[in-house]
Amino acid sequence: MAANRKLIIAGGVILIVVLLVGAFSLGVYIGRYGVSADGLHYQAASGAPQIDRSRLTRPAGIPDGEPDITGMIRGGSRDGIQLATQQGPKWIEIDANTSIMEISGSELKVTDLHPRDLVAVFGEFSVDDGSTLLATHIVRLPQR
Amino acid sequence: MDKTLKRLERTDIFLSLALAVTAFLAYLATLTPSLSYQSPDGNELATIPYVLGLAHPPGYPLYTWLGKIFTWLPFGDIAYRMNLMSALCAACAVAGLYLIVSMLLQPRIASSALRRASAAFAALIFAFSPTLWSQAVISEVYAVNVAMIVISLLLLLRWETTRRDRDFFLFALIYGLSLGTHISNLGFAPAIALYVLLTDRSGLKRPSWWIAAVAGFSLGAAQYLWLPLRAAALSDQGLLRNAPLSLKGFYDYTLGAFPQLKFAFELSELPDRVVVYIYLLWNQFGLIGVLLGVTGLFALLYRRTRHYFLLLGMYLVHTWFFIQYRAFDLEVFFIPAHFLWAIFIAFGLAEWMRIIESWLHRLGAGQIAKVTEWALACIVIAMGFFPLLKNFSSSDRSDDINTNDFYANVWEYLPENSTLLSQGGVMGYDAFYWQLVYDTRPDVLLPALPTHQPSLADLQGGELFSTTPLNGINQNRAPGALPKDLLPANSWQTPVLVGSQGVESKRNRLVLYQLSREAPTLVVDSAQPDLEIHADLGNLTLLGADISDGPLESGGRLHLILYWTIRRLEPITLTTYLGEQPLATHELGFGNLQRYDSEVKAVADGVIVEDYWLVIPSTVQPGSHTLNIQIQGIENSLEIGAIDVINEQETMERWLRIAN
Repeated sequence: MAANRKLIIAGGVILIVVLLVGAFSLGVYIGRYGVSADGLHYQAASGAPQIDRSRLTRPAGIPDGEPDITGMIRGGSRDGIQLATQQGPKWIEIDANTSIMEISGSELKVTDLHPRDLVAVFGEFSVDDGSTLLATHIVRLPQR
Repeated sequence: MDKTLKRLERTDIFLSLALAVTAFLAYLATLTPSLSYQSPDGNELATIPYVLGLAHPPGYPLYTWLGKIFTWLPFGDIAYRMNLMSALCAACAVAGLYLIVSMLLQPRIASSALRRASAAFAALIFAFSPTLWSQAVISEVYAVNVAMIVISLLLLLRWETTRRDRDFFLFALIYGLSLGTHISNLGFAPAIALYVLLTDRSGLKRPSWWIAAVAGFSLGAAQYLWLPLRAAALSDQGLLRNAPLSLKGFYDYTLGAFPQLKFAFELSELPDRVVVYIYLLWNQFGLIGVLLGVTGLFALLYRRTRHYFLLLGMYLVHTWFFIQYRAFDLEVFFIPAHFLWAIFIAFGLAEWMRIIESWLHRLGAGQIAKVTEWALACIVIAMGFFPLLKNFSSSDRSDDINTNDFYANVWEYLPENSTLLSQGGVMGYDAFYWQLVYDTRPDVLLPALPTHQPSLADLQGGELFSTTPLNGINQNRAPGALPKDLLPANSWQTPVLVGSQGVESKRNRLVLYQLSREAPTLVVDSAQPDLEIHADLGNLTLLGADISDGPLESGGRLHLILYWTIRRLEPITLTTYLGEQPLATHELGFGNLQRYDSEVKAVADGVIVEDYWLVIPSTVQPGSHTLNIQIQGIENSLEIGAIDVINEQETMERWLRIAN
């Protein structure tokens, strides 16, 4: 009976820790995103770890070669996104031909892109000073 | 506290069967008729058992063998029979859940009616939870896997009752076999070991117990010898890299598979991942289910401490592993966790039943209390059907016919000795299925088909077609990719057959493209369409259309030629509707206008001709339907004609006739 009591106490401690982890996670999440579904990404939230690229293949739909711009999303609308890049801020134009996808190749909508997401952009510079690019492909990257 | 498990009575067996039949009928009514894009691996998993091949990592040997048995059923096509296996296994899991809860709930908790109602409620809400249901109607491993977990647990509880070594052998065998439906079941081992330790420590001193445990598990796990035996069946470049032909290859194909997906998140991200899981749990059972489960965990701890460690241990390892798993179809991996949560719900509900029952007995005389108990039990069971009503329409895949309709038309359309370039790897089985299972059109070469080693010489005999955009197949690194330079450089890719997609298709396009070195005739100087329309749409004018004559069999295809003029070259998106039903969306000129304009002829100087076949879904009812075109950004749709649809041949018969 005493052994059973010890087991119940141990089990109770585990259960309370589990519930606390759940409550803590909910608190952190609400602190980050508010009461919204913004952080409910199945594949990658912000700051995912570096992926071993040697073991990855480039899925269908992602163009060969280096992207024209990589950077972090600062904001945007359905027509485009503002990107912070090492070359300074860039405006990425999005039109009906722009494919938006995860690095796995799965399709995304423009509304799936959020501030702080890292993206690689393929396309053509539409303004001579290099500040604006018309995107053909936007690939959301999983790593910080 | 009553430590012995409750013996199952005839009523429990009857009720579990009734629950299984109820779930199975719902799954059957919503079953996918054949192939589907609902799961990325589904079409592969519908094909591999028939040919006794080797599925993608970790290979799923038991799933393959069980599937082979289902392919012997005498009705439907092979994919339908595999879908049926999922439905049957999910229904078995539902019955098993009821039996497990019935064994664990002690008679003293509440009256038999209320206990059974709690168990039935848990079984029903699990049966009709959206994720399990989504997997119970397609070819996938998850429904079969949860059935294997349930059978393992039932056998483990049986061993607890009998303490016979042969019963533990049986449990260990089934548990070992369950690794062949999902290798992640290995994560349950620590919780099972702890439970065994808490249940019968003295038994562990018997060599016969160890022999039973090791022999049973090894025998079950030995199914993985299937991998090196069938590795020769692989020719996909992606899978060949980790072919299970060496010890390292074997590890990479099984436990080491998908390293980039496992533990893919930093510590700082884990709170988000936990919330993703809570969100998924909420989606299955609602807030009440989540709260009842938490209550049930406390009840389980107090009333069934050893089983608490078994079930919570299994649950925690499983959820901990998969919240750190990076997959776009993440929800399906949590089905075993949802199953365990349903058990917790049953315990939580039973506790509330006990409280209500004691109130009733305090308030009323025995007979009235008895009647009220029965009424309450009926209400609880009735509430278990609420998810059935709520999730029925969203889980209904019975009209998911687009894949088969499209490929049936592809096989009919392709000229003799042509070549069809498809996606490779698991994604290519929408096309491979037909040739691997039915030997459909053996004259048509499928270079991406496993077992083929395509070369340029293979492609030179006939016309070239593809069901995927060129940039998806002309690369040598992607899984299932074709050898580099296999395709003619700078080919034109002209859609000739467009499949209906509906609105929820997870695939980009159902389009058959014809590949050619020469430019297609996309722009002509003038045109005389059979149907003159002259609809001015600003930058665009629809001059007219040619539509094939005569009634059209549903599931067949309509020949459509549209004549357009355009003033300024810009992307224009069109959606074709049959009545209210959207058939397909495409860009004017199918993405070729820009190149055509710069390389062949100025598009604005002539008439753009879109000449293609459009698949009419086999779900379209017989009768006259209008054919409409909606231009994106323009409110009103254009009616371009009416089509008489007939339905003289049953859909499955038609698919099977075309298959072979």
